[in-house]
Amino acid sequence: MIMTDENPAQDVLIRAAGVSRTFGGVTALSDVSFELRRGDVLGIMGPNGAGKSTLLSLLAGVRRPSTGELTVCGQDMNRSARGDAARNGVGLAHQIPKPFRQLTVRQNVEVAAQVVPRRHRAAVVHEALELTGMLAAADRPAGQLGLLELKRLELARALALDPQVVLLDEVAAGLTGADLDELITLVAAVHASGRTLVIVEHVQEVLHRLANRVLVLEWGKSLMEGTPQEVSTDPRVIEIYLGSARESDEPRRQRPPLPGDAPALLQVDGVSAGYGPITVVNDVSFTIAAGEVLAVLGANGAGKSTLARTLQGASTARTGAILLDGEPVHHRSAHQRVRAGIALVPEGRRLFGDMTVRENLELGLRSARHREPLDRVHELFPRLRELQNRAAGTLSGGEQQMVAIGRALASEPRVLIFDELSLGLAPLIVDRMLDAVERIASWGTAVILIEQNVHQALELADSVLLLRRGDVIFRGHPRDFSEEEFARAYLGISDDASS
Amino acid sequence: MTDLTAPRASRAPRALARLARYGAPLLVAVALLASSEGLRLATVNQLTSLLLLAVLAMSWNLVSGFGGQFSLGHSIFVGVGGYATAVILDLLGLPLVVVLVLSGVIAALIGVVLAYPMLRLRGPYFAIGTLGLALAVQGWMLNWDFTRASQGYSIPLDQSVDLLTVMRIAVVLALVAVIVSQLIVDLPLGLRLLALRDNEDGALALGVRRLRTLLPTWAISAFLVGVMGAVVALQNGQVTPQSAFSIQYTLDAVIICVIGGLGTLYGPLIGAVAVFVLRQFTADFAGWASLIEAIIVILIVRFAPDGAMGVLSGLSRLVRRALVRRRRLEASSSTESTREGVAA
Repeated sequence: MIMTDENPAQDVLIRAAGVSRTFGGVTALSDVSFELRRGDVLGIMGPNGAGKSTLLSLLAGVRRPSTGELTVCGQDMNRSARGDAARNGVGLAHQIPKPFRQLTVRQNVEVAAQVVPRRHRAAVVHEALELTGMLAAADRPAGQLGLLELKRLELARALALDPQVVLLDEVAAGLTGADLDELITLVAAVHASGRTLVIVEHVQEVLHRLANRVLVLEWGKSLMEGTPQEVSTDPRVIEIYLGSARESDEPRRQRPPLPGDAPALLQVDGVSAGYGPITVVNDVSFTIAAGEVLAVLGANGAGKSTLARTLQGASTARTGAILLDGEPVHHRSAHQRVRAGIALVPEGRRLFGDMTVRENLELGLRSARHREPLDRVHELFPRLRELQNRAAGTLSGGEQQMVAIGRALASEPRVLIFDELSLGLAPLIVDRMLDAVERIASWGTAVILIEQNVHQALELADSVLLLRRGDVIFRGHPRDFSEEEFARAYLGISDDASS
Repeated sequence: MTDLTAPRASRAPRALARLARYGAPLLVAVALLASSEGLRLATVNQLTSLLLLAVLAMSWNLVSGFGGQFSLGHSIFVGVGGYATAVILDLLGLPLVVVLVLSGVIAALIGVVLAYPMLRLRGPYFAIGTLGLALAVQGWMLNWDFTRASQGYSIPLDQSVDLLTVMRIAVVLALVAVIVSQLIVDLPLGLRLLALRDNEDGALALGVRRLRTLLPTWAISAFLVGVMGAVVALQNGQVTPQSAFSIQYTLDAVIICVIGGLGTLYGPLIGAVAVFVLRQFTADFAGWASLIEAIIVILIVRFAPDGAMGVLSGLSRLVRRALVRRRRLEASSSTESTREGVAA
């Protein structure tokens, strides 16, 4: 590494004081403060929507803070332009590698090396390729690389900026087994070469093995900061991953227990799916009966959403079969599956924002003349009748979720999949949503509930499917579901102990 | 720090390949110049048209093929170059070479002035923006007294250039376009250009400055097209806004690059030859000519989206793989025979 400045006063490389960032009316990051010293490895963790990516984008100069002071490598990030950070000693390795596919590996790295003085370029490129083990593949087109190599290239490009700070955004996502170990070794080598690291990571193993401090974010605020051990045993951290239990004593579940011999409505048999070289869902099997609620749980990146997309037809299953009433549907397209009776309430709701509530709901109908399903939607959410002429994009998050559920119900589904039902919603609204799920199930609809709030999901569920990095690690009745199981899936604790 | 003086196995062949890449076009150009004396005048004129088409396509390819900025406004530079040459020859009577370079420089300056706002647009908006600009400029030129819209602006007779000289100029210009294209690809500028095209966000995140990469490329492209427009004016003996600012030039560049291979070094050359030969052939079918051309373009886009260069590299990959397989087969059979020998 080429040190341009040995001044000890510069030992603090990142100083964040009261940093906030809003998008429109949404506060993604609120009053976050921390310091990073040269040589540190800071881990950042938190559930979906906690503000991790936003924080990283501020550190990398992709966005500017709305308020607060942020200094990275001596540069005031309130005044920096896009790309300044790269020239100023901050390298960012993205979660999903996006190489310049038509260029060779070496050329990819050379693009980054253009920010270092000309006489150092060749050396920096060579060093980056060597450290990441990509020298042998240097002349291959980046478009031909496998996932682990792409991750290495992503890292090599960040290193070719000759950075003081390297930001790693979920570099372990999608990697398992030996590949994961290899990557951890590689990141450790990057640290050993004198770089300061910031690691955003869901795979807790990575933080346990690499980070010396961890910052936990929740709802855009910093919840706590400590060593990886302190963090993973802190009850508050466990709670944000599990979700809090409900205050009310009244049981949410109204339905009688499901008879043991209920015939399967949807049968999923050995389904695998993924994107490009990545396998995200691996050999998943389960059945669900009419009126049954199946809770699909797992940490971020476990493959829950991909499973939902595969069931609904937005991604195709690579192997396995999906049977609805004994009929195979896995070769059918998404709109055919909707007609067959599988509907999805997607993560982030995906409403047509410029259309009115009524138009959004009508789009869900199977036929414009057959409007009865809308009556049921209005019965479930009377509020939607009042809002019917409002543009969907102007509604609050909870109201939008109602429209999304209503739109899915309008197609009279027999199987309804909720992807992250409660994400980004206030607790009171979440309560109402889960009540709605209970009612929908009581109509005889099979419900697949993908949820972050484990406790509340378990209250409703007839059965549980727990995923960890694409594999099913638990399948069965909620009462058999143990805290250890959970810890293994979400925090990787027992895994650490065993390794 | 690692030792960089360590010999790299591929260094010598690489230098040789580079020499060949720059040397071959030079040899072809010299051969063309040397043999041009004996050619029939019709052939000379046709060759000129072909070379100019190739220059146009190569220049457009710099911005739109390598840079990924789909320009539909390049006809502006043909017109600017043509008019600049006619006007300068008429009013100032400078030496021809100076006039040609000056025409290119004027086109480049106008190119930078136009590109600066245009490059704020992305993707389809950029294409539509440049198209609108080209149409607006043509409309303006048609209604401006200065351009003498209906009768056109003639190159003064005492300054006019014979067709053989025009062809030689075109040969040199084409050589310059080839060399410049190669230089851009070999220089860091080209690397930044390709990076921006492949993934703009990624490139920006790695510190690539967008305008600093695109503006010079745009200027070089406009310069070459400007000189090309100047040579077109010399070839025709006059310029009219109708022909010099015609959108057809841009369309020709697009079609040639699609046929030859967008964003490749030699694609535009191959495409220019293909389109030129095709047009000679379809000229007999008059009204059907553009239909035939359109169908061919559609077929190429459908079945060979990377154009002739894509097909060629696909073929060479097949051949190489077959060779490797045969070599392996031979190797394994020879080891087997030795093993049999040992067993015997």
